Amino acid sequence: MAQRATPERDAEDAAELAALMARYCDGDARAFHALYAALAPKILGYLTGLIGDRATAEDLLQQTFMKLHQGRASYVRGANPAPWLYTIAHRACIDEIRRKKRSKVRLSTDGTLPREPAADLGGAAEAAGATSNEADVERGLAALATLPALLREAVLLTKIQGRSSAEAALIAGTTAGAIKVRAHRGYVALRNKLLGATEDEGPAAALGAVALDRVELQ
Amino acid sequence: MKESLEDLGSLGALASSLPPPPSSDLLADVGSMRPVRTRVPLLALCIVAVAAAVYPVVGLAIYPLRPDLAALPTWWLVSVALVWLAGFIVPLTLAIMPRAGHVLPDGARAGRVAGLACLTAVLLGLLFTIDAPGVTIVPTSVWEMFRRYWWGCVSFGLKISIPAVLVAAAVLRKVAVTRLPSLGAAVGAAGGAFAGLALHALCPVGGAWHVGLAHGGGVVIGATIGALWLPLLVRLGGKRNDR
Repeated sequence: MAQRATPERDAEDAAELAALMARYCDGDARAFHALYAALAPKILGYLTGLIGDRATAEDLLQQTFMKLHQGRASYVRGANPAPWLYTIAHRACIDEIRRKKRSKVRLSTDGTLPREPAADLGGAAEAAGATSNEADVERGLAALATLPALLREAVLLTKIQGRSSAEAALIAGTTAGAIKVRAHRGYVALRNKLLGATEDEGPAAALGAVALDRVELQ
Repeated sequence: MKESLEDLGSLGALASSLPPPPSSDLLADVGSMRPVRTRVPLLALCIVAVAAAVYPVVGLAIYPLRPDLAALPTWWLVSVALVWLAGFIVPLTLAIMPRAGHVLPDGARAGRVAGLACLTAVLLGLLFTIDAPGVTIVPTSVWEMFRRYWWGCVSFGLKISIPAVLVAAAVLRKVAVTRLPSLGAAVGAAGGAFAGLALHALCPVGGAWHVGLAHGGGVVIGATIGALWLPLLVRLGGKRNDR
């Protein structure tokens, strides 16, 4: 589970990451490895939740850090690199989704889309002491996949990754207010789904009149 | 309702997930990396501002000042000039400069300010224009204003907005910013506002319709061009870099 950090702890973490990033930009390879160790687990969790497929998420993680490496000259010294890295990951994920849409789609005989492989996170949850089993995680990911994309990213960023609304807004390219609304709706829908609410009173009811089921990641 | 991660059960695993080691390509690149000079947003802001300033500064140097300048109230000239100047500085700063502690500029905030700049520029012209009777050229009708005077002032604005948008795209191309249309709108609006400032000193044509729809309209058109062009230019620059 994500630790609910205090503002002081957040500030310390941000300062530590900023110092690592500065050393990385100065050519220190050890700083890169420290930065990777600190941020890659969170970014991978975010990407897995967003795309629903562990293997693709791992590819996107590599792309994200490659883009960070290539664009490290764009870093602003003293800034927390984490929201920026999330943004790069977010953009990589959108590009991947668009690429998949453009590529040929295999349809089953009844004309429906084949189901994407579920993420394999079994045994990978280090923070929780790896207690959740694979089936639970798959069920969670399946519930997450039922959310419209905008609600999913808002829930992932704020509720699961613990980013602030302002940071999440910057990462997702929207306003903090919109993130708060989407995160709340997504959370309610997801909670109902995971706690076994019936289909009628579950996500669809929680979303109310907001027709977000067709919206795409921006 | 208190919202806690515990309610989401196994999804807590997504907060942190054991990653694979960095790829061999990445490790090779990191192993051979050299120190890089990092971005200084203030410098980027100055570069875009200079790109926007070239044409109006040249214009102020080579074109004669408006003939009714001496007949207009100084307080009005100064206060309107300050509004145009703010319309240039504020959106441009928000489009290029990140908040303290961040790498990326806040596109949502820049977009809101760009919209406000457009509205202010048009209303400033429509509601607060003062003419010097007998000296200021005032179009006899809205139609005459559009036919004879509109494009000259709008095109003056485009000659400022377009270089600003081009240079902004160059400085933002590797930064992975979000909300590029909003940032582009802010840069374009800033260019239009700089044009409004220069035209405030140069344009001999007055009248609320002209100042509102040609000078203020230049801000709107600049913002529109910025919103449309900046995303395309940044993506184009990104693709070139990927090759």
